[in-house]
Amino acid sequence: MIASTSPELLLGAVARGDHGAFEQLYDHIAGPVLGVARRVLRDPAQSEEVAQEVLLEVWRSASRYDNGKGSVLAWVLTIAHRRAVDRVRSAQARTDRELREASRAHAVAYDEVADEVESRLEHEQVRTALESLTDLQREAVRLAYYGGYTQREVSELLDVPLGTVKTRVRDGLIRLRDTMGVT
Amino acid sequence: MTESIHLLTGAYAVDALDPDERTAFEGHLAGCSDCQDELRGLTETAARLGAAAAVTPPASLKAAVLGQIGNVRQLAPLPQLVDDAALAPVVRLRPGRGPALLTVAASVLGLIAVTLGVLLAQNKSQTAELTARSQEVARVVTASDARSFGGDIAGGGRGAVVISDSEGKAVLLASSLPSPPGGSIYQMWFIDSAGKAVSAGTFAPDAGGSAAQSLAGSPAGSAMVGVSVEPAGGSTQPTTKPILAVNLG
Repeated sequence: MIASTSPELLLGAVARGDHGAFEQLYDHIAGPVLGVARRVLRDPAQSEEVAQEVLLEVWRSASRYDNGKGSVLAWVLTIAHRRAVDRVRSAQARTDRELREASRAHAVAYDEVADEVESRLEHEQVRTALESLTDLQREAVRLAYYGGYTQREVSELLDVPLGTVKTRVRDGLIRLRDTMGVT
Repeated sequence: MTESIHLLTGAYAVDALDPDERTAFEGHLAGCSDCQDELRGLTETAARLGAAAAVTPPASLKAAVLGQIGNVRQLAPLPQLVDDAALAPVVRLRPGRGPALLTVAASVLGLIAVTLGVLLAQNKSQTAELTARSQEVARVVTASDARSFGGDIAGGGRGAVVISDSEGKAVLLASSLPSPPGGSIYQMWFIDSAGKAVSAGTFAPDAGGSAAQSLAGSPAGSAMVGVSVEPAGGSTQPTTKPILAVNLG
């Protein structure tokens, strides 16, 4: 029962204050949460801080999960991604232009960094699906999701009009959705 | 409901919108079931991208998180009654639907959507009072003569005042409000053209910094609505510089 209990069932128990259920849920979600934070933030210490905040937020707001809006993992990773980009953007606002320049370098380098991927299979599926996109779709989706850039920044980084980024991010995600059979 | 705002589902799913765009899109999303359906699939897709980036967390993270949950109070479930009954008229808002909405800017629609979520999130034990409050807010923003006025909040965030003369009421909507300093509270003021201020009640934003608040008293004769930080319990006159001042006209 312990290994097979779904995050959805666990979250219901978590919402009622069940510490044991939260520990099991933790095992499902901590790796992806930290992975998302690491991709966006890069800095290991900051990533762990954000991951910790997100995991505590899941505990705190478990009762607010609405299964009509998607899976538990999607709910959790939406929180994680939002927190990570908020952290990046507040840091950007603070250090202004210098950091923007650094970000550009980072955008080029991010893909060369070796990934400590926990789930090879999941990774392979996503990699294959990403390869089915056009170059522009793939770069726009990657910079936005993994890089944590706004569509305006993606437009500058790729030197294409904002309207193009808008549509490429959307049709890229739609293609990924269909390729991976996400329902 | 223009074509271009529908296209923002993708950018929204990967958090690629600026704060203003995000607020405006959320306002649209509340009333667009096509976008809600599409967003559900795109959010799941984004989560697959995230799951593929999973790393093995250090044992210290687990110890830290499990060690802390005992000290973190959990949120109560949302009161469903308010969700269904009181907010339905507001969630159905769409730009261009009726004469009232022509005067309500898209950014204000966004604020309405965001801040009405606040009403849901507040004290679950006061469901009846909440229902009355959200219905009052809903009546003002959906009135046929509703007019909206916006302003920037010092230190970030947006505020708007929606006034209906037929209802004789004004409503304050705000997002990204910082928590007032300990021992203090936000107080709203009706200010006339001579600069005379009359208190319109106090409030505290929710944990997310949002507020949807009906002002006490009538907006008639006021030139401005202001919000200032005041000691808990409120003041008879503003004692600090307003963090938000909205010109009514």
